[in-house]
Amino acid sequence: MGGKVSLFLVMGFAGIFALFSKNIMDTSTRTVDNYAFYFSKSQAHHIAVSGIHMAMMEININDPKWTTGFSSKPFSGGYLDLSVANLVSGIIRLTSVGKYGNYSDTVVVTAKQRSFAEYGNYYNVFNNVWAATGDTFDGKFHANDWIQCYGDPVFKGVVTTSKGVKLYDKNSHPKFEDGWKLQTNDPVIFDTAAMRIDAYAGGKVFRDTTNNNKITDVKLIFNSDGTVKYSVSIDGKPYTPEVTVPVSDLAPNGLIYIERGNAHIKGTLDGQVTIVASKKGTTGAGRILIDNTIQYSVDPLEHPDLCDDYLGLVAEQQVEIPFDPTRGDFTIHASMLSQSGGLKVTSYGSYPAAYKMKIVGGIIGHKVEATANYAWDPIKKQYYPTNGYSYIHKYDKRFDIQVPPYFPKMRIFSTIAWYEGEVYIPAFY
Amino acid sequence: MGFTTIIDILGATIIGGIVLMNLLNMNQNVVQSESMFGHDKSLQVDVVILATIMDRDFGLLGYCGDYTKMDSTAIIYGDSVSIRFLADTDNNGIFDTLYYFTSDTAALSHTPNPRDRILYRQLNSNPPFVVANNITEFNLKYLDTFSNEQVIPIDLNKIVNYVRIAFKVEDPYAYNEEYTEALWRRLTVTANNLTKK
Repeated sequence: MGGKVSLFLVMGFAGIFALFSKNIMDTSTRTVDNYAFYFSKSQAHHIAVSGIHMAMMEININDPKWTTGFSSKPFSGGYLDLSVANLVSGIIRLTSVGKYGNYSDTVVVTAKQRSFAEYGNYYNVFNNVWAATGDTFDGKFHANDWIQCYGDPVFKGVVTTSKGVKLYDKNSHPKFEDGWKLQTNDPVIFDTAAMRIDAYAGGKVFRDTTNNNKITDVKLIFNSDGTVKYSVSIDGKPYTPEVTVPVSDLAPNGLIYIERGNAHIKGTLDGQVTIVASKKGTTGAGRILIDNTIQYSVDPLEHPDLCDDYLGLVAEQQVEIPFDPTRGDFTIHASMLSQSGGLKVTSYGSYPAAYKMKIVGGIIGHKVEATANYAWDPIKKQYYPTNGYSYIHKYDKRFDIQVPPYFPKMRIFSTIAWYEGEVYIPAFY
Repeated sequence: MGFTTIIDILGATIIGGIVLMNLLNMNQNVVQSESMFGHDKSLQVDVVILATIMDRDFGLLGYCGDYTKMDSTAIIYGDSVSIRFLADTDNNGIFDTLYYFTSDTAALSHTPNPRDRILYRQLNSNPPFVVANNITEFNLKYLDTFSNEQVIPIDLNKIVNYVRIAFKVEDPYAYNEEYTEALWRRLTVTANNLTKK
């Protein structure tokens, strides 16, 4: 009798335990499901992010016009779909969908082919130049090289470098106010042929009209009333009589192209112009020489909303400040690109004193050029300029939105906006 | 015969009692285990939901559908337990403001767990949304480009390149006061959109 009762008790408890056991197993299964969801969702996200990086690599390393995308590409245990859409010239949108198991995630990235004019400073090589204490670099800064820092230089804009940041010693603490990141090497190169075509299409081309491939020198003096006075010299012969015309009549699309020649410029610009000097194989050409102050009719720092003047100086050789010991302090409002050199101050050591060169815009070049001689002040314990010109540089923030007409663009696309979609709240039971 | 029956009954009672004690003990263990498994599961669900929401929200830090509006700073205010930042959550080209903050422990004083608090997520001026009501730790750190920790409070004048997020949730109720817990930590959230365009 008692044995039967015991048997019933054992069977009863075994049955109850079986029910609890099932609940425990179910709970465990749901717990695993829960983490499986997070893992799968994260994996899908990482696949989507990887797709963006793979596409950017295709575009920036192999083919800037790559729009093939990926379709159900197996990747990391899942699949990847990616499409590339051209929004406007130089701006693309990449939509990457990562799939893992039953889950998918989408990342949408907007990338832009920046204009070189969006940089305050852009150099191919640093050589043995160090950004040092007291240096303040305004605007975006890029180097296709190490960024070498001695002491505490200040970089006010985003800094990008193809190699990294090199500190002189443990006491060097550069200040990157907008941070820094690695970016693909993109040399300072522009397409002279394309710019010449655009200049022929709606701008102005100065060239040797005798077709003897002689060097053409052009003087351009801009007036604050929107006109420009110009004269031309071919093969070193006397300049032609000066002609004054509205800038918009001389180059309706804003592009002035000097083929195998040099430009001398100064004055006050009321308008939007990019001046290009090509060297076409000759070392004596491809230079833009800034004889004296070249400024906008409205100060872009004081009145950025009112100023609609833009000046781009694009030299296949270099932008130069010719030697003039009587010039004194002067101002440059422009973004300057020197494909083979930098911003060169000719014979800077021969100036009788040190002067200031106030630049509002950008300096883009192959290398950093020296512009002054320095001496050591033992009282202030710092170097000070003795002969030549020192920079007082401000980036023209208007160039973030608009740049001088036809100013060269970079080859690579940079990510400018990264969207990972709206919040998704998973449902569990 | 009568003596043998008594022995049988006593023996069966003792054996049955031992079996019964074991079964009762096992039953208690089963109930405790199921309780803990159940609480664990709930906590893990909470963590996953919270992590999913925060992953996405912080990925949007500084993002705007109209990229010309984006800048290098987007954190309006940030300290170790709260953050208010700009993010275009609906991708309509207009910045929204997201605000994450926690209550004090008094808000959940009716629960046995003395440490739990409420984590709120507030979008613009909408009523705060309870993201989690069992937060026991919510910690934010702000790092610069060299991963140096920035001094709090953070505002729009301070550059932040990374945000480090960690939180822990605990059960508000517990079997035998053994509160189950789950921890989530994201070492760095790269601020993809915190660079000047």
